[in-house]
Amino acid sequence: MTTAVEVRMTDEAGIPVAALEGEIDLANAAEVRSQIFGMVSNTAPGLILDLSGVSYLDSRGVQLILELAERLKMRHLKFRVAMPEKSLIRRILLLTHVDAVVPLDTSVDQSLAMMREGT
Amino acid sequence: MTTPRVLVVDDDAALLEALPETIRLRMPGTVVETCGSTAPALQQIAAVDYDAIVSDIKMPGMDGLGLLSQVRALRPDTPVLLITGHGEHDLAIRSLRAGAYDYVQKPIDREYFVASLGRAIQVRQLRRQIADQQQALSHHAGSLEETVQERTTELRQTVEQLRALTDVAAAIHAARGAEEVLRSVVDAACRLSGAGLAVAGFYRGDNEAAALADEHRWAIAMAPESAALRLAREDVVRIFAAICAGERGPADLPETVFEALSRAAANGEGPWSSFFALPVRGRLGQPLGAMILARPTGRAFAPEVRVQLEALALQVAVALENTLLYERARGTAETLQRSLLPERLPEIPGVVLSARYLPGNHEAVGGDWYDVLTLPNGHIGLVIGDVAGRGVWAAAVMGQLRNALRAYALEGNPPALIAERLTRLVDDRTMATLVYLVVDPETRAVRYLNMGHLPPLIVGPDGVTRLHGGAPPLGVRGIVYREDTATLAPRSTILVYTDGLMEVRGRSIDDGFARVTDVLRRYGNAPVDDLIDRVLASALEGRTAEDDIALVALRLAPLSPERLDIRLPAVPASLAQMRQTLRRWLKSAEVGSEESYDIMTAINEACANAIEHAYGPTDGLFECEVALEDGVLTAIVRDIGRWRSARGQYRGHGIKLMEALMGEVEVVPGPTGTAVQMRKRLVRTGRVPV
Repeated sequence: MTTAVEVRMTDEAGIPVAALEGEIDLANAAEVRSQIFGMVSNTAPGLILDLSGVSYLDSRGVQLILELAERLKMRHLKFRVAMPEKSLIRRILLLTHVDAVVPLDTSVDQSLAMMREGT
Repeated sequence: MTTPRVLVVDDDAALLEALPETIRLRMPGTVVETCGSTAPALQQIAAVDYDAIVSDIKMPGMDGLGLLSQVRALRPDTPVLLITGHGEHDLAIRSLRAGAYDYVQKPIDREYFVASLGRAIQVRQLRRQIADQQQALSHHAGSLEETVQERTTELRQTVEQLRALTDVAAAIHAARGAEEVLRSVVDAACRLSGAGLAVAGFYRGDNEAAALADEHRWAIAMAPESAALRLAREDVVRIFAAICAGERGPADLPETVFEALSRAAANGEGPWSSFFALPVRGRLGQPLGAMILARPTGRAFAPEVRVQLEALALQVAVALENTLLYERARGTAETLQRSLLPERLPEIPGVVLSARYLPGNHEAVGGDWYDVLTLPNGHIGLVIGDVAGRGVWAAAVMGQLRNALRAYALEGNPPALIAERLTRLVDDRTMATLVYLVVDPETRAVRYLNMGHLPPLIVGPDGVTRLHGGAPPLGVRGIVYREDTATLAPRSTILVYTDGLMEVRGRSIDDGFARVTDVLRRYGNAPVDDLIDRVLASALEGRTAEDDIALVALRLAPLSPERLDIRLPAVPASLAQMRQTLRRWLKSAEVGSEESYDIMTAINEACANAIEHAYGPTDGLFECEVALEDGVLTAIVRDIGRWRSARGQYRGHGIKLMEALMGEVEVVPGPTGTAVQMRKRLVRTGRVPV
């Protein structure tokens, strides 16, 4: 049995959205990271990470989001993470203070709106 | 013709003088002796084998007829001429009847007399000649018969020797394995040569002449077997190495080489010195082994015996070379097959697994295999298969099928799709039967596809049932596969197996089913290891397994709501399975979903740490014990199975998460690794009413 996750990249009017579906843990965090890093170009305004489909995320997932934030910041790119208000993983991100580094939205639409407004 | 000798007997002195005179004159070269009466004449006749006797018929005492009858008795082949008085026709006829050759009347007609006597001598001499020739002939015939008999005996011996050699060859070639070959060789060598001791060795040296003295590379047999007590292995190997190293062929080695052998052979009877040693070489001349034979001193091995032993050595060479080839082939197949069976079964809480694999005593390994997989969704895949045929080929096909099935199954494909893909993989020559069965330990739902294999058996509260349905064996084209489903009762046990379990020679397969069903019914509640051993034992009762037997039992044991033990390989891939098992247990313990998530995340962090710090790539394990008592959940996560120094401080988000989610976290460095202990008072569970 292995941890299964799917990474889907879409483009919402010039803004790349990485949607993850499945679980993220030690077994696949490194692979997910390299997949997302390889998909973000410098010409894009930023990246939206959609975690709505993620049913489980451990500290390696948290680590992944923080590393992503750091990288994008270095490249002067914006970064937002979206998941439903009641998502169980939101609790994990709040417990590890990810919200202090990356804004957490409740949907991709909200993230897109915020990003277009310039935040 | 030899000089004729004639005896003349007459009481008439004048005639006794005149007749010899006539004979000498008319028949030159004839020796004539005379006698005046019958008595001395008989003495003469007894001493000399005359060619003819001439006698007067009328004489005092014994007359001519009396003499005739004596001569007939004494020398039946000697012709007798009788001289009768004028007109004594009666006497003349009597004399002819009594066996006289002829008679001559007085006055004697000399012409007639001489002619008659000449004929008599000629007949006598011809007869003697014929007798001589007959004797020579019969003598010759006698010796001819003797010669024929001699040749026949020789031929028979040769035939017997050849037959003995053929018998030996048959025994040697029928032998299985080097040890059996050697055993029959030493017995045969003693029988063929009359040796009192025979030692044969098989060298498994991979053609390396350098390793000839290496004891471990030799298999040795001796006859009589008791010789092994007196003959040290190392001495034998030394001798064999010397024999094989020599360039020469069969030869007597110097006696000094055989000191130990001599003592062993003699068995206290004093040293033996008649030895015959010969190397056994393969087709390329490489050493395959050697033979030594011994006889008591003074009883050397005859040349023809040596020839026979050399012929024996050739047979042995062929047999040993075949043995080597066979051992290599079997070794390869066995290694291949063993490498394809799971080294250990996965440990899945709530699932008890046990498997047995019993190779048959058949010469070549079979194509039976089994496999147990943990699928991406946490279900368990159970595989049992049998490739038709034996040996390396069957084992190789089995390997391909096994790996392909693994790959397709681990991608999460349903049984029917896997079957379809496997069919595309095999060629026309392959025929294999296979069951692929997927068990969901949570719902106890089973999905399966049986491709021509014997049906899986289920033993549960309702007794023993078969999982029906299926498709033709793998290799049959154009099949649309459809999976079958079943739902098992709690605590059910699934048994999958290969046909060796059911098929006992001379019994119908129904007997096999009845036998196994009976064992399952009686011991269905016994521990799975015990149950599977009893099933296997029932198949072996009163026979040796001829076919390979593979069987796997899987029991669905309900999780205890008080306690959960998980033990998994210390690899990242184990985390998902740990979480799935934990999730199932938390659900069965009626822990709320939010608290379950917290607990799962905390325990996952501890496990991930244990995995990340595991020493070495795969062989470590980690253990997770979770207990729930009086509304308090405790979890201990530790790495086990190997010593290593304690890990340093927990850093990063992991420890923060554990503390935040559980409340109490303690990291305890121990002598065999680090243990993380966590406690959490649950807000609400089904066991503690609010």
